[in-house]
Amino acid sequence: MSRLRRVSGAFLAAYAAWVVLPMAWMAWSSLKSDDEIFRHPLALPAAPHPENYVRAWGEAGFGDYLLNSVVVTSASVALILGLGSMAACALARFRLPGGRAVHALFLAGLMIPAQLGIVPLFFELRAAGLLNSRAGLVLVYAANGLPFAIFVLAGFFRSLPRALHEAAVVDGCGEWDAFRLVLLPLARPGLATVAIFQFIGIWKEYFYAFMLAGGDGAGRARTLPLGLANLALTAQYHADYGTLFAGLVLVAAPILAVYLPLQRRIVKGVAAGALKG
Amino acid sequence: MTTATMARLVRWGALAAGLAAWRLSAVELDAPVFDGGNGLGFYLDAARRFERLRPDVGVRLYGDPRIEEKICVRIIGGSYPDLASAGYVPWARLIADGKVADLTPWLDGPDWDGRGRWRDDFLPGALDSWRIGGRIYGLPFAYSCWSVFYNRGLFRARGWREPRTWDEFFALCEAIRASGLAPLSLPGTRGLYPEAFLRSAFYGLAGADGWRALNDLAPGARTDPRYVRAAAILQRITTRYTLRGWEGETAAGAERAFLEGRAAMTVSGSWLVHETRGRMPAGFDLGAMNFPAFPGGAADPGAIQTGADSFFVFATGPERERAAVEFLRFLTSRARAEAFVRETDSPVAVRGVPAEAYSPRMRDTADLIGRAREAFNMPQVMLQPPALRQALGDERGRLMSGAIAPEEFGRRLEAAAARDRLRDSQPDRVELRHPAAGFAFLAALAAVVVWAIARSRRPRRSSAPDAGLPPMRARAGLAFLGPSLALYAAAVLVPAATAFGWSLLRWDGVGPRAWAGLFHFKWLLFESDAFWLALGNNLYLMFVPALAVVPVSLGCAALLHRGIRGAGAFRAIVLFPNFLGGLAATLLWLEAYQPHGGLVNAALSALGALPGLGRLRSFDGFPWLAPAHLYGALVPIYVWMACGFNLVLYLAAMEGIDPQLYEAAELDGAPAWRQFFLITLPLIADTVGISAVFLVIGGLNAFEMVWLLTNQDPGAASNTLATLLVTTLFRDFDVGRATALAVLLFLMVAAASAGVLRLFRGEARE
Repeated sequence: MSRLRRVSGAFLAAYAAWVVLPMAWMAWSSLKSDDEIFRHPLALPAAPHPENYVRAWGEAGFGDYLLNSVVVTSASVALILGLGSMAACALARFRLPGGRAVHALFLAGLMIPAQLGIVPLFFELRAAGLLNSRAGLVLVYAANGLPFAIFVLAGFFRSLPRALHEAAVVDGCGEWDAFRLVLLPLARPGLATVAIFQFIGIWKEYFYAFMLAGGDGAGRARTLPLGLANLALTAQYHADYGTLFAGLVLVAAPILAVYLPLQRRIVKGVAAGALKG
Repeated sequence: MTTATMARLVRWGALAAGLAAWRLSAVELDAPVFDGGNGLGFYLDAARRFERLRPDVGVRLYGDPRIEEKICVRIIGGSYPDLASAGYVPWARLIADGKVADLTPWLDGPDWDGRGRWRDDFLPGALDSWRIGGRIYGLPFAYSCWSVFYNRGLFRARGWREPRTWDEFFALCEAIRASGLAPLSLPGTRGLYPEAFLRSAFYGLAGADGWRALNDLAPGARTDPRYVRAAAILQRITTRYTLRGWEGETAAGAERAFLEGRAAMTVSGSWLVHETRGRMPAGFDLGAMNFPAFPGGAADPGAIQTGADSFFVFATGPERERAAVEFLRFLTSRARAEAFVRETDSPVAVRGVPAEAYSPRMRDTADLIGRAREAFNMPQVMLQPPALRQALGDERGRLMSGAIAPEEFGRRLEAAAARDRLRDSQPDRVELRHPAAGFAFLAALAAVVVWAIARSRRPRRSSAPDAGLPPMRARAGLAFLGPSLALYAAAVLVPAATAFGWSLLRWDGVGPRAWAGLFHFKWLLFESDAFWLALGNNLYLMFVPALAVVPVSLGCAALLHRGIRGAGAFRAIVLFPNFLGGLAATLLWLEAYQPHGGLVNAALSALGALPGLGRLRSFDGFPWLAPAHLYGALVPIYVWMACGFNLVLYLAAMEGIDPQLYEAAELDGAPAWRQFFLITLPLIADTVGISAVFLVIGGLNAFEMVWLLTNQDPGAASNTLATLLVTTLFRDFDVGRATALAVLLFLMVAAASAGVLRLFRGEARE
């Protein structure tokens, strides 16, 4: 047994090292000069170059992008949780004419490729004056997050004991009170799962951000992935790898900051959501 | 001018009495511009200066490195900007459809400075890029000249001379190679760069007439012996005289290898000078020379190969067009042109910029341009018809790697050009190239659907899931579901349905729409090679990474489950790449896969220093991103990103297993591996199945990784269905075909999900 333990320990350590290596490379390259990054890829920085971060934060606009990402992601997740839990509750815990069709309609959304509707969507947003705005991006993210939220939350609501709910209805609770006072509090683990998944998904989303929020100069709605991609694509023409790596770290750092303290809960949420679904 | 405009003019004239006579009305120009190496700074500054001179005109200029796709979206929606400068926009089709303003009359008028006719301000040949049917539609500004850049210090030290002829060039390459150095560093992932040798050699052999015939797609131009000979020159260069790993090298990587002294020469447009500004090693003496010539060839040996970023004015009405042209006249004034050269250190298509405006490093190029009596323009990518454009990219790669002979290269391009001609003459024809595969696809789709429905019917009848649930009042139902449904319909369903409708149309996004019925579906399934190549790649991505990810995560989860120190930290570490996101992870791996100086090859060759691992040293300079290795290189990225997530799932499922089962097995003396196969695996089979479904669906939708790792220009053999969708929509501008592809993709994902869900639900109930 102890030999097995040692062998398996070594295997896991090697695997973890392999996972960490690219991230560590990213971190130490972000402190190097462009020349050093590729000439001595494995060496630690000879002298740290914190100006890479200054450039990424200031010139490349990552400060603004970070703010946009935080606002857009939080608002979208809030909207998804609010609308999604109501819809899922109605579909899972109540009898509703056409309910099953509506449910199927939402689930179909899980299968529509994002690229498909982009042209009509672009013009809808433009007509509504929401192009290149954070509000427009929030609405699009929320709409696209609803199928997943309803999929997971309906599963949660369905798994709740029926008696509870029936008791509430017998006690004269309306639908709203039954939802707010009885069902919603019990679905908290489901809500956490949806929030975690959607937060991560929206935080790193690129395609919609690029198409719907990237244009028209000022960049008041540009999010971090967009800033990162622009930096990387410009690097094809005018290499500035130190800034690019610093940008990568700036994208990863907030996730790490959220992830480390909440690790246990996130892991539980990921597992719970996927298994219930 | 219409009478309405006349009337407006008169009215304005009365109102604006006392104001300057040219002040007609306020116009704000919408001007998206490609943001590449030169940056937007110069153009933004020019716009502000112009606004100061013409307070009635605003120039809203903006851009980014992928501005093309945004311009394309607007074109498909029928809302055009006023002027634009970008490469991958279907200009030819827009011009043919009258959407782009003809600049010829303006060019015959005066220039901004009052020096003379506007058209006389441009370098010889510069106005030819977008001369179609005798009219000029694109106005060149930023100018470039292709040349061979060389390490002059090294040449001087070794006594090497600039070659004049191809024979001298090849003798030089032999001499460089004999000295132990690579003669050339070339970006294999940007085929346009090495192809410069072929273009230049062909122009040298065939001259201006041959060049024109080639670009006009004259039948036989690509099987012409002169073209084949030029192709042979390119092949000789790439198969013998290139730096190891060049096939997987990006443009920036090839530049870097050249600057680091790994190779003596590289080929590039003059933008190399700007791109390497501030990164050139101290004391590096950069030389630029023209391509070699053929003694007695049809062209002047001083002829240069050029390219230009052109501006286009959209036909948005006389008033706006005039304002846009006015801005372009200002942009091409002598003062602005000189400012452009000084600021960006890049040539400009306008004559008369003094030599001292160029930095010393640009002097060679400026000399080449100044001395040239002949110039030939690189063919506009978007002027080439789709089959030829795709074939050029794919076959050029095969030619350069030595997989096909130059004669075969010419034959294949000629066949592609013939396909384009046939498509134009018989647009409704579908050639049955893949009959078996097409029918098998349809049959499989139908079988899954029938099976899924048949499986689902049985349990559903026995117990309706909503029986016994309390009913909801209609008004409450509306309140609970209404907002979600409205938002979801507006942002997801309606756009998707609209696009689905387009799949039945023949529509190039610009001209009129015509009914096409199921033509696009028939074409994709039965004729298109690209569709089947892409589907093959998707199948690879659906199953191969899963075969690595599932066992690795399962193994790790099993080990962690049996209790090991540091399990929490391990979980945290392996889950993190999943949170980083596909975009950031791909960008990170893109750099890690650089042949020279990337993490992967550096780490492998460092491991090669260990005893017994010496073979790993051969990975130094390995071209991971070359088309031949790309899909192999994707697997580690998948494993890196996906394992953590799956591991967490499996571990959670394992923790739900009753520990008594293991205790009993322990008493029976079953070893750990037997316990795993007899207890653990069967009990978490459902979870493994679900996670495999996630992986498979992810493989069907794969887009970001391939798109970024192929420089956003995947060859036919590297496409996935999603990248093919995007190139069909935004490069070929075939809206009908692109949306038909999306419908097929949707059907596949839906069928796969429905099938798998039924499988699991069915089993769970039985």
